[in-house]
Amino acid sequence: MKASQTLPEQELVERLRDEKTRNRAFEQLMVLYQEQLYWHIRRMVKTHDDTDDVLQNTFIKAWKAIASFRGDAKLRTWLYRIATNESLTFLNKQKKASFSELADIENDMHHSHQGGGGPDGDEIQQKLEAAVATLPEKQKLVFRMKYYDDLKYQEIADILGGSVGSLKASFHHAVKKIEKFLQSG
Amino acid sequence: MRNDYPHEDDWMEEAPRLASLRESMSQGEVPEGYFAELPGKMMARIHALDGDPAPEAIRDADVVLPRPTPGQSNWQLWGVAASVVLLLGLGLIFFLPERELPAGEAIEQRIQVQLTSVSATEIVNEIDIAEVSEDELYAMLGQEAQAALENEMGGMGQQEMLDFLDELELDPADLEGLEFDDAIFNDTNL
Repeated sequence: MKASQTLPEQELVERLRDEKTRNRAFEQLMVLYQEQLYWHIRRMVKTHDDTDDVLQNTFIKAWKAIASFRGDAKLRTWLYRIATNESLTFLNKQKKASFSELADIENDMHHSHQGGGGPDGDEIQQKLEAAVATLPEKQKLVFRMKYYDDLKYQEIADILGGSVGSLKASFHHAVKKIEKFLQSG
Repeated sequence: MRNDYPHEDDWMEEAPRLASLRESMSQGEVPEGYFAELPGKMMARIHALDGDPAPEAIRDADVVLPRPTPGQSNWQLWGVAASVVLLLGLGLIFFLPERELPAGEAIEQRIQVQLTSVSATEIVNEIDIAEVSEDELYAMLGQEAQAALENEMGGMGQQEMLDFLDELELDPADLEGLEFDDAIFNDTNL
């Protein structure tokens, strides 16, 4: 669902600023963006339960800051920025767990390859996940936002900061590393 | 697919199976109804944070009052209405200030109330007949009393008056100073 199908972004922003209409508008905002944000977060934190926690924290932070939302960025970009920061904060707290998850994925892949036969969809998906997991944090984020979320470079730049040129370079390096990872597997 | 960066296209061509994964990556397991319930759950959490007891969805909803069943509707309604009217009436009688009479009426009413508590003897004692002229007496007693007295006196003949005096058995001393018609004194019966 896109925001433009129900309410123009500018009107939604105005309703979010007005205390009388804020509740309804925020509910609508959540309905519009919850799935995109959910998958954006889930690609980073993996499990549904963790994703649910991070997504709820994202919306709580958004609610607290909505009155001061200036409208310089699009609502989606703003929400992605909050969701990304929340996810990174969560991952930093769960760093050990994340490393063990990565180890689990690599271990699973090792066993599946030993099993023989061609890789199926799940195996490819796992392999890609494992490849993305080896990337530095910024390349990982850029790759996911570009590849899975289909965001424009300018939007990613608004979310993560930095220039469009440096983001293009990050994505290029990420792709090359994933290719190399997959070829080595 | 993406033309804004040439390496992307290279990568897509080299790994077509990976390119097809993009959509499937959003098909992980999510509990049923999660996205339907999340906004409501979040609004409740937000209102709890704000200390607001009622979510807007409930505040804005129309309040539907329960409708009475057909059997009980009319008599209960009329009973309540009658009770209200009765209470209002009693309230008006007991608690509203009395209607104020015009000044003249109020004074007259007060005098009448005071007179009823005074006996006739007390009233008579207060009136000194000797100081009241005949005209004043008639004025006080009214036209009917005047007419009756004049008729009484006027209708009494001389003989009747003498008989009346006889009955009184007056002493000659009582009659001193009184002026009588000569005819009376010439009467042999005296």
